[in-house]
Amino acid sequence: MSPYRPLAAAAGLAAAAALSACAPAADGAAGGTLTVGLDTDVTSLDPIDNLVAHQSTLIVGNAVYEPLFTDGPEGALEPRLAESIETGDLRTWTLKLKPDLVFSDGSPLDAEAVIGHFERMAGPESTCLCQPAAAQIDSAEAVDDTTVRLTLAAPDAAFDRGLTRSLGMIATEPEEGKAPLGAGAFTVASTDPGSSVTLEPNPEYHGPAPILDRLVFRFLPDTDSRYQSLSSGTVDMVWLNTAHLVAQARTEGLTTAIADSTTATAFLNTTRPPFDDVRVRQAVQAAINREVILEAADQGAGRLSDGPITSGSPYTARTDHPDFDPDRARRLLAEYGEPVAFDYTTDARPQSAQRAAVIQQMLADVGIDMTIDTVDAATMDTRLFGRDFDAIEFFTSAYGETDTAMKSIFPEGAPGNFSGYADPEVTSLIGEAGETVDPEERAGLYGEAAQIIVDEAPVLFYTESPSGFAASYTVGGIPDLSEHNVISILPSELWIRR
Amino acid sequence: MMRTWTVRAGRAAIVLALLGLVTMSLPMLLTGNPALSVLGPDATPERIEAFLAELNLDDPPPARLADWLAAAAQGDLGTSLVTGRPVADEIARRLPVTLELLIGGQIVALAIAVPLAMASAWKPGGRVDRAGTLASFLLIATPPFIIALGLIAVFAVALGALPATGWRDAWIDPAGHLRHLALPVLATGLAEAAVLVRLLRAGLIETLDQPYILAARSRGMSAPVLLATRALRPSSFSALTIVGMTVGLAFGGSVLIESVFAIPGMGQLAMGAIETRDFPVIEAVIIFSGAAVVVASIAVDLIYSLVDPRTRNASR
Repeated sequence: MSPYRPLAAAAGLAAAAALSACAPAADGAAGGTLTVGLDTDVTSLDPIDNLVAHQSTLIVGNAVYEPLFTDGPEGALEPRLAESIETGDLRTWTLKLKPDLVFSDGSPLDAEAVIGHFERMAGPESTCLCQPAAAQIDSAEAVDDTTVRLTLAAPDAAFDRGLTRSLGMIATEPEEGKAPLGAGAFTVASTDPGSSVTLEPNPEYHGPAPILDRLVFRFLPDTDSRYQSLSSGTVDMVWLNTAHLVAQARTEGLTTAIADSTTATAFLNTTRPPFDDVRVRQAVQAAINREVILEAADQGAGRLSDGPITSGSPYTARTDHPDFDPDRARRLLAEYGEPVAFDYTTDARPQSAQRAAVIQQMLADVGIDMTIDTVDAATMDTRLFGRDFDAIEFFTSAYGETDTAMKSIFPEGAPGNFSGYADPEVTSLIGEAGETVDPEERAGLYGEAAQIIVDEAPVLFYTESPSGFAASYTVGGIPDLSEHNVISILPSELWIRR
Repeated sequence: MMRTWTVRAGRAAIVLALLGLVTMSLPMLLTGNPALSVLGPDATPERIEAFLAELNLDDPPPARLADWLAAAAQGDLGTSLVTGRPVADEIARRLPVTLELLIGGQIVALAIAVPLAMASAWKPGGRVDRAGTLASFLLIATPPFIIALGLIAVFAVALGALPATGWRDAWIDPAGHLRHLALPVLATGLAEAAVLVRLLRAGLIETLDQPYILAARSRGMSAPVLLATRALRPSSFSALTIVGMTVGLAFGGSVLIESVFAIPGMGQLAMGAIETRDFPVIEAVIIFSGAAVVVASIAVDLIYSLVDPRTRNASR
């Protein structure tokens, strides 16, 4: 659990912990319907459409498909449909499946099915965010029914991480208008677009049968009424990603599966003035007091972000983030010698607005004129992907997977390098890390790259903010995710007291 | 008479044509690209270009409108870029939900506003009037989503009497359906009742000063009968206008109420489509809602002429 939990909640916590510890079989809790309120309308259950692989909806993907691996504590991979994955050179990977796996219609989920899924995700028409990862598979060979040998175009230390999301959610080829089948603990009973998805236990599931009779995911777009739905018992569990409600859930002693898994950052556009000059980037970085952002936007419920390697990363390398130092900011601006004014693009979420407002004030104190440009989500994406911004907020769970984040955000020309940052040393260090088999050595290389990134500030790192699930006292089996980088829950382990 | 209505229909057609042209210009006016929502951020520029070419988003708005109308005449409103489902099906599924909310909200609003306005107007400055005035100003000044969250806090969280959010199919679970409908309808109705009370009260006070009312009172007609049969009808013009406009606008759905109560109506459909720049859905919802507003305003004119025959020829 998070170290920030208020002491006042101790009594409620103790009660919740005692309840969570009860074995469902012991108190007759088997069966029942668990209703979960989500922030996303899961209009497609096909992993190729990415909607079951967001941090808030991984619980749906995990229920229907149960990925080859899930995210464990401190960045570990926990095998699910897979037994293991091994590599000697990061280029050739041997994936071993559990024996006798079948999809929910009884057809075999074997090495051929896995290869078929990878090919569908890699296809030119694929809209999967995993498409680049899948497309780098040069050849895939079914060694036997449960063994797949994969050869990548180039070594990639991050390849196995992708098997926790869409790439690892092995699905059948979908029939027209229907969701594909999976081998998870649940199957789709009904969908009501814009409203809900209802799941029922999969009789063909390879593991112990789920405890629940039914699992319902409801789309509850408004954050406050989602929380009220939990308080009133309308739903049993909700997704939370706003700091004040996370703090409230902790104060009320609710059972939570929450981690500081979302990083608040901003990209500075290094391809045009004023941020093409490293001194201006460093001045902005020095003028921002991240403690104030933590208090104002996150209400203290989170921690400072020091760089691209998050506090929960399996890589122990850490970066030395420059302190808040307005005098240094003024000196750097004086060296730059021109007035600095820029637009800060952000969305309308309350936390984003609060962050932007305090940053604007802090920058004004050192003489930087920042204009807040609030836009909707679609415009944010367009500005970001089109590199059409001076500075743009980027609130993301991407840093939960260090290997993937490093290789996709910072090397020159990388798909997520929205800053247009081009540092040959960083590109080379990350490239080398991606081909380095020894994790300790890789950590060292990432550490060196991360320190340069923090020093040159193409990205501003503010806070690691809490998000996750809160549940009523009647729900059990909720894992402690405080040491996790990604909120990933297997619903087959959940139960509800009736 | 016939000429009056022909002129009105002509004006309505012009309004709808202009709305259609503006709607078909949206892809050029709005920043944000549907290709990114559908194809993902890693899509190559070539794929994005091919995707957009298929949608004909670059065609001139009149040509797009003509294509849209030709397809719509055959019941084809296009296909959602995000879900791949026909837009007509989506609207057919969402519209009854919004209509139910709308009709329920109007019933609640009128049930509160009419008696309260009559009681207030009968004794202006009296207790009922003062309490009603205070309550209605309070409600007018409160944003609808605060009213909605307040109702959830009282009826769902504190009393546990009604569900906080969600929607149930009326055919599958009629009782659950009504329970889920109660709070959204109350929230919609309360916000509108507050405005209606003010308008009706003002109209009634003016009417009650008329000599024919004095004559009716002097003949011993009781207050409720007098108010209901003599005063209400001529006092209801401004309230009728508001009801008519609300009905028209509500076809587009109430984004706030539907979002807070998680109701899968037209408002949420529109909101989701705007967030993803799902242009076929945005276009259909705007044109449909615009048509509803135009039809509602014509209906209000028609009702005016029934309520007060003097307005029948007042087309100019």
